[in-house]
Amino acid sequence: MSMRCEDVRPLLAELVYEEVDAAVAEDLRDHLGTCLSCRRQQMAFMAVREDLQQWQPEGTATPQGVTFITSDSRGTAGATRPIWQNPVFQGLATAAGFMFVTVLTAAAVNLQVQSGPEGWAVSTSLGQSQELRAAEPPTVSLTQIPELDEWLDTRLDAQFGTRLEERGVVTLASMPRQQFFTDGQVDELTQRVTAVLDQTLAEHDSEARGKLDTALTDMQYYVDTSVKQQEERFFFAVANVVEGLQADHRDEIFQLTQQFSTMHADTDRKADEAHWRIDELELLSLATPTRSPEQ
Amino acid sequence: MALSDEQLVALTVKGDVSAFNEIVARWEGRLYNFVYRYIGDAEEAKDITQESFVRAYSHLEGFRGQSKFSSWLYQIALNLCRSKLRRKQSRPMVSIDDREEDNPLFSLPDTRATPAEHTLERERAVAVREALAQLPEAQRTVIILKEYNGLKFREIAEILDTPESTVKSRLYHGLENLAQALGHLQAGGNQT
Repeated sequence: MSMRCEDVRPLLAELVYEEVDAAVAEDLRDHLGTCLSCRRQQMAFMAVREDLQQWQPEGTATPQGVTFITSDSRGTAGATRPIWQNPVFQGLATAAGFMFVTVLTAAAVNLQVQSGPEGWAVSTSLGQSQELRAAEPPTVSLTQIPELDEWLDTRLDAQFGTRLEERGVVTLASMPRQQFFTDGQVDELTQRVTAVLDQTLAEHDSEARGKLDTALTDMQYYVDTSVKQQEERFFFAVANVVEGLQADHRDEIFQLTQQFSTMHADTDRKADEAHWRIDELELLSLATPTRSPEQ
Repeated sequence: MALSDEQLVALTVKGDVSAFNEIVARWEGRLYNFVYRYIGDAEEAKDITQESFVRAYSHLEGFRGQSKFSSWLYQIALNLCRSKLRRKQSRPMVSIDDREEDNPLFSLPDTRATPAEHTLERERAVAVREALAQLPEAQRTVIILKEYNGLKFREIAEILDTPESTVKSRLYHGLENLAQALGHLQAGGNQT
């Protein structure tokens, strides 16, 4: 059953916190797939969640001021014993000591940490060199972001006769989480946008063009987010592109997106892998000959 | 297998003090995170967290088990937070004057590699903090419990002793207000 905006809006908060019934979530996604206004609100809520995580408590989670109550203090609040006498604290101290020894050992075997275009790499000189890729990508020079905005703006002006702001598209430079962009993501976005615009100019009617406009907007949100929180945005970007260009891959992409959801609770690394698999498929759909508007 | 909170409470009431130490170890971090976000001051948050455990311990025999022990603990902390704020009513939780470089309220951890990145993160964190402080208390409490403590709607409803639907409504309006304050949403967004 199709839902109306006034029914959907109150449920968006539950959706972004993933605490909504599966059946309702399905209806919500159906609506969000066709309603840009509600989708923008959902994206706004997700962006708020991302911002909220920017504010972390000072120091460690365990407040040093907390002390533990002894048997003498029951009913006479105030008599306490220091935290370092607590068994839990002593356990942590032992663990910290172990970590310290481990770090010293690592240093002794020439531990090396390097950053590169694909992530952080950790290697040692013990036996064959091993690389462990961390999930979070390295940061990118912020100077590239305005350039990409300008490039997008120029293309849109030339081909659609409009500018980013007129179309309500958030410019990349204005996004708060620029530090999550990587060289690879920027390049990839550039390639995607080029492909989408070229396809649009070549063979699609105004309806398909509108869908691709939405996909462009979503893609910009998508590159703005961390892997764990981009699922919903990416879902719509893919759905819109596929709907506009190549319906044949839709089911397959939906399945992959579901797998991506399942992996949500797993490691960042696995989520990364799923993300790139979906990405490859999207690029494939762009490269495949498209249906004509009258079909 | 680890004992439940309620089992540890029962042991404490019977005189096993180490059981309460286990409760403290289990909940101190989460309680501190909640109080810190509510109060906005690390030192005061530590004091209130400690006081919450002391009060819980002192009144343990009055805990009837009508709600989860953790909900009861959150209620104690929330009441202490509210009375703390009432006592300093004349001082807003976050004021423009507080935005001094040396104010511990705004000294956020430096985890970024470059000053430019640190500045961006810091500015965003300050913006979030100010936007949260501007929310009505009811919305702020729900958002803190949901976002930072990861509680379910029914758990928040139990702590606040309010219907689940009210909690959801407060969360929605809180997010909407934050989205506008943080520039993610224009006021009076259009519908289709």
